[in-house]
Amino acid sequence: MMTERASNDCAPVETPQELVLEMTLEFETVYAEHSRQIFYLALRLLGDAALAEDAAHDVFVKAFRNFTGFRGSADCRTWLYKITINHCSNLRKRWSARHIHIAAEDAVFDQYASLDSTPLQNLELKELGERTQKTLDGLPTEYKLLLLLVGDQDLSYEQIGTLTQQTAAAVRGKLYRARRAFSIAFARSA
Amino acid sequence: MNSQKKHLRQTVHPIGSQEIQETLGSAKALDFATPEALLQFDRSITTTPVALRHRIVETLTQTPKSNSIPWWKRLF
Repeated sequence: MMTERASNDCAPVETPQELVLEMTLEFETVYAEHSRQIFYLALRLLGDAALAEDAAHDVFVKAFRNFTGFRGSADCRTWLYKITINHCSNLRKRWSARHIHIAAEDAVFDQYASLDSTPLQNLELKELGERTQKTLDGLPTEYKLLLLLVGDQDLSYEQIGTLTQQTAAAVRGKLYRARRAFSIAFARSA
Repeated sequence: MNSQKKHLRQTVHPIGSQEIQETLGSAKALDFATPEALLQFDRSITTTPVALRHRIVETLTQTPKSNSIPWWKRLF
């Protein structure tokens, strides 16, 4: 990636330090803007914080290796979401083939505990996280993904449609049923 | 439907840092009327692991060139 970028720009050969600096600056911008969303999507799709961290790592590495080709061609958030969805879907397929199951009870929700809050608040937030995960895991995969994407207010129905390979109208229709299914399942999980 | 909305509510005590109080305060106002509201709140309290950024930078800066000789070619 480094050599490709240097030759594309017709710039004089940069030192490794300069390349690292350039890459770091670009990385910082994209990472600061999108890391929370990408990690959260991976966390809820996989149901495990450690696996989500690995997945988010792979997504950003993959994204940066293809960054030159991406520039200006699409919305960055949508592009990163696409990589995340594909990556998590592939992981789930692999686990399914090997009969590996991640239970919400076993999932680690320690990422909440890092907030400067009381133990009681931590416990409540942890419980909320577990209930949310269990509810999402009980939904059809399509509903789960739609709800997670629509939870990102920056995404339009058209963008969600592009990500899930359907029309915006289909997204609206399915979202109604997904909301209903989530509400019922969440109420039952109390 | 009202009973479902009730179940979506979360009671959180307003004690702790300013950041969490603000977040929880906004969550109370939303009252989790919709699954999206709940998921937005859930995302807002989820912190990205500190080690993630460092891991990515490390991988990107240490990645060997893609045109390097595969391990099996070096052996045979």
